[in-house]
Amino acid sequence: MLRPLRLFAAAATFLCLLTGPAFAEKVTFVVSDGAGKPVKDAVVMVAAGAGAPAVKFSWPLEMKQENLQFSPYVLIAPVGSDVKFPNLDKVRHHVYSFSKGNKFELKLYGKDESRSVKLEKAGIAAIGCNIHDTMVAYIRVVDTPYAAKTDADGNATLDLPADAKAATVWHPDALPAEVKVTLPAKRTAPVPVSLKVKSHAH
Amino acid sequence: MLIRRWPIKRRPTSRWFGGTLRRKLTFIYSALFGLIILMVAGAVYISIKINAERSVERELQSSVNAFERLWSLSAAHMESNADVLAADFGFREAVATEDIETIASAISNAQGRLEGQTVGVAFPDGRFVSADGTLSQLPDTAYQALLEQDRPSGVVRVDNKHFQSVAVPIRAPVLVGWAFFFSELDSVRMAELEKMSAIQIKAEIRNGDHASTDHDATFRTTEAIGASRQIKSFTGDEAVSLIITYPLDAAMAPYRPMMLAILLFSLFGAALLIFSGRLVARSVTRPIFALDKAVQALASGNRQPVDVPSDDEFGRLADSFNTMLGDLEAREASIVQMGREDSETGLANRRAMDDDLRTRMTMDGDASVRVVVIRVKRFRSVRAAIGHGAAAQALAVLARRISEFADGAAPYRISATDIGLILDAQNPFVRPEGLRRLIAACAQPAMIGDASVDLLLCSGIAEPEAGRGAPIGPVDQAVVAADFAESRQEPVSVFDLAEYGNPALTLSLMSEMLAAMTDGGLSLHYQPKFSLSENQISGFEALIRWEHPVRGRVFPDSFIPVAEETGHIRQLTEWVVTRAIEDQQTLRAKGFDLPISVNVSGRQMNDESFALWAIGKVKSSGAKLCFEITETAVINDPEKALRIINLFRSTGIAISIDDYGAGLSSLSYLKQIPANELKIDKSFILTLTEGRSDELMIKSTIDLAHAMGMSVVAEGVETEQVMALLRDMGADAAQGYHISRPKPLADMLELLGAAMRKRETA
Repeated sequence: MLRPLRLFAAAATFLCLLTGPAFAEKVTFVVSDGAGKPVKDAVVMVAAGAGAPAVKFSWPLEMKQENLQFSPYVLIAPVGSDVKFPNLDKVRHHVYSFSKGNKFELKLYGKDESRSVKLEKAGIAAIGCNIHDTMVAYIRVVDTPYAAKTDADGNATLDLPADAKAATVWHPDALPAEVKVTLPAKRTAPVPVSLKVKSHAH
Repeated sequence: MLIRRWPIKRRPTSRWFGGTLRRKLTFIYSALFGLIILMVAGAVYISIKINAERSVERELQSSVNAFERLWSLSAAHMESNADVLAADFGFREAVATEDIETIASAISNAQGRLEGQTVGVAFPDGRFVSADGTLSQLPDTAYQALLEQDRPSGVVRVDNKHFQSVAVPIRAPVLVGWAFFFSELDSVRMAELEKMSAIQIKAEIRNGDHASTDHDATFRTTEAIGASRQIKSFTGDEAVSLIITYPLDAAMAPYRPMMLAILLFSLFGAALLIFSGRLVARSVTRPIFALDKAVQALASGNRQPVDVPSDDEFGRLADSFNTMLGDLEAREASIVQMGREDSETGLANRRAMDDDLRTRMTMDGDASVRVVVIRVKRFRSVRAAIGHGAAAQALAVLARRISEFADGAAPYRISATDIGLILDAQNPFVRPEGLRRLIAACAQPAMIGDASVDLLLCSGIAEPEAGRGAPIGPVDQAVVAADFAESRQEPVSVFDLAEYGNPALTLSLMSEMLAAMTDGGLSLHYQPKFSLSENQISGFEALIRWEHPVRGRVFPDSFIPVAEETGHIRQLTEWVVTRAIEDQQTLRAKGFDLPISVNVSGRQMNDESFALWAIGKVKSSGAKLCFEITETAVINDPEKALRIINLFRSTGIAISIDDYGAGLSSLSYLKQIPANELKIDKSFILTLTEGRSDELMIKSTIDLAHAMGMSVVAEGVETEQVMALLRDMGADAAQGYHISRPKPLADMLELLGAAMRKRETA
């Protein structure tokens, strides 16, 4: 029974790929600041159209506290997902966010304790620790599966439907914080994005 | 004593430096001191001022520094307050969630806790929440400052009020806003600052480049010193300064008593100096005054020693002056001595005699004194023969003899030839017989070296009392008396005022005489000479007549001797000669060619220039003249007189010896004079009938004259009888009243005419 199921699934997937969004293709964005320096942790998002797959990401939805820092600095999380806040430090933390729609407060919790928060609204949640002012991190709550953040080389790759027209690129320390990028018709070449980034607290 | 005054040109003295030395000294000292005081006071004032200003400047500087410290302390304080607020979790939540009410309550809570501070919150989009919950938009500049600076702080101005303000970011954890803290820089704040300073400063905050952007600038206005310090403005591009000022008045105030003291001391010192300056000047100038006075007295002939008792330069000067005064006296005495002495003989001189006589007369009275002058006659010939030195020696010998003989009377040499004596009226030698004895005793020849010098002496006596009215002094009177004696060949003569006449009158007489020559006052009358052999007029004697408009007729005896003495005789004679020649020409025109006799003074017989003039005159007119002279004409210089007489004779001018027998008739002179005619004096003729002796003398004189080749004219013939006698005696002509008185020429013409008619009828 399993086999035909699996086969069905595979067939379905294949169908999917063939029909509608079946013409997905990989698009690479290269984000740099004005001076050509690659920008890490920039979030590239493309709005989900009809027939878009469910919003689901390959990376763990957790915001660790390690060495009195949040990690990662930027986390992309789907709307309505639970994000875990494991404390790997010896000290206790008091994690909070006053961001609109995603306001929460995780009162003091200690080592190896974990809390989770359901993020209800697409947008930005700025995360801080009431005890340690220098601890800052951001969770980008998205309602699209087409979202990724740039690596150390400023590259981010998305599997985008052919009809995707534009992308939004955001970085917490950029000014302005986000820019819109129109996608070129020919998507074989990487898409360059320029963002002016202030040096952030780290 | 004579002091010659050289005119010294003095500079005109000014009002201040003029006047006395004392005033000058006082003024100069006072002026110098005043100047020094002024300079010292000025220097003190300036140094005090500089000092005061410097210390004020230092104080201001330190006040400014204090303010700056205070400022940063206050800023830090406000910042820490702001940090505390911004770190509050609840507050951050309120800001992050823009919970305005909560924010406002938190703000007012903080304000309540921090007195004097105003708190506010700004959102990232520039909205501003104040304690009362109102929302406003931040000014752009402030908003920009927030965006550009992490923690801006500085002065902001709101509604013309200055605030110190700080803003700190609120992070939750991202920037959600800024907490603002304000503190007004009001008068209370400024007063606190002012109170911190040791001096009474005034502090204020001003906008704009008020003073200087220089950090440590101090400045000065007319009434204040100030320091300014730029303060950071909140926006960073506004110029705001703290200005601290201090009034100059106040800076100088502490020194005012000192300045006053200096001023008072200066005034006191100046007064003291003027006073003491006057004293010093007086002590300096007093001896100068004394010297000045003494010198002026000396200049006017009074010798006054100066009394300056000090032993300084003035004392020495006074001593020198006194010494000089003594020397001057001695020298003057010696000069007087020299002035009183005859250098040739060492005898006292004329001046000494005048002085001594004056002294005697004032002491004893005029009546007690007689003046005697003894003269060496013909002294000039003696001197020419033996030389000046020897002649003077002879005079000295004579003086010694006189002095010895006259009981030691002091002899004076009053002229080259005269020895004078001042004798008592009782002295026997002041009477003629006594003096004659003295002369006789002293007259023996003097031995000078090997030579024997004859001393022929005569003398004069003057009585000062008797001669008081004379225009000359007693010594001169005695000299005149000696002149008389000499001319009369007498040993002694006493001065007779009447005889001397009045020379003051003679001068005017002469000038009147000269005037009379031209205005007709002088005229010639003529007296005829009657030829006894021919019984007719054979010539005329011209006689001068002077009809004076005031004095009436002036007789020749009274003005001719004067004319001789004064030298006017030459002019008179020339006038007579000229007029006589004119009259002779008138006679000739009428057909009467007769000689005219003119009286010529003995002096003219020694005058060659007169002789030449007369000869020229006679030659040019062809006149027939006869010059009547007296024997005295040849006495003074016989050789010269005879030469001139011969000159006259050679040019046809006849010479007649006048007044023969009246004076000293010397047969030797008679023999010498080559005269054409001898006129017997009328004193013989007038008495001719009275006795035989005259008759004989006249007869023999006539014979003598005839023997010497002269014709004889008898004067003073007044009767027919005398004329007959004279005719018998052989006289050639007669002249006198019997024939005619002297009359004007017109009368003579008439006379001649009448005689001619008589002869024609006869």
